[in-house]
Amino acid sequence: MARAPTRTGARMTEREMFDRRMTATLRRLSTRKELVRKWKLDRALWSRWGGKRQAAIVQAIIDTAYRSVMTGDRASLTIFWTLHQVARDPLYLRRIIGEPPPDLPRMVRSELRTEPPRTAEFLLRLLLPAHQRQHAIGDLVEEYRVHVLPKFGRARASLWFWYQAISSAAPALGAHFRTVLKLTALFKAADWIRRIGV
Amino acid sequence: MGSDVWLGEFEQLVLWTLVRLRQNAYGMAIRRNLEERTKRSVSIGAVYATLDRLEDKGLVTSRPGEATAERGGRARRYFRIEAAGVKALNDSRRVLEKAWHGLRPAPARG
Repeated sequence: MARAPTRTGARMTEREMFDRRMTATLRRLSTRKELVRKWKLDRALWSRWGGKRQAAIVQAIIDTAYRSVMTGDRASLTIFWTLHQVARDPLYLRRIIGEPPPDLPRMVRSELRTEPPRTAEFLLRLLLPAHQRQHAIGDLVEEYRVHVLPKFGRARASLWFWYQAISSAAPALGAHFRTVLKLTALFKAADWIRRIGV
Repeated sequence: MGSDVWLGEFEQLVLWTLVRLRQNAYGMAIRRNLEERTKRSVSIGAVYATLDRLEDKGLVTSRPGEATAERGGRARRYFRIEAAGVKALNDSRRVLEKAWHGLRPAPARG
């Protein structure tokens, strides 16, 4: 008796096979307690992986994945797939840092981003003199990406960038403020002269 | 035999960093080097303001460098100390050495 063809073996893509296996694994974790135990186990297994920044990203990926499982979000499979890719190819994470795949959920994508805080960059663009702007912002972005982010992780690196932006923009802001004060004083004086009819 | 240009402390430090970094003197490298050696926080804005001032005085020159991906496609600006800058730096050192000669500051008594 001929059996109905099923999508197994070579016909299934690697991703589909992984999804099926992962779904089965997650289904076996019937209680919340078991799920949390597996979550902690995965965190521990990956805790010493790669450098400090890479380990932090992987931990964030694991957390996002398990949170998605708990809320019943299907995106968790995509996140576990990313983790699987990282486990298989250690250079995979390095490749997607800065350019995360578009199918990844926003939370994971934001962990993988290497852009400095946009508002701080805007502040610099607004306040630095035009001839310095491009080079000074480029220098800060380079230092942020090459030295600060890999060493301190995203949160502290963002703080660092904000500190640099404010300390660089403050003198420029002071100069703008002094110009405004001078102009105000000039207008006041002109108004005073007009009133007394000199 | 004094120089026409009097350098402030930060200007001297920046020129001294340009001498040290030679061909690789651009904003980020200068800022990091200054922070490492002086152990104090230096903003990139202060570095560029000083370099602009030194360029106006004719002590340093700058040229645009390459744009790289890490910098978001923004170009570097390389700085070089000129002969006048070296002279001003040496003169400042000589003036300071003269001022310090035979002097040992101690807290005032009484």
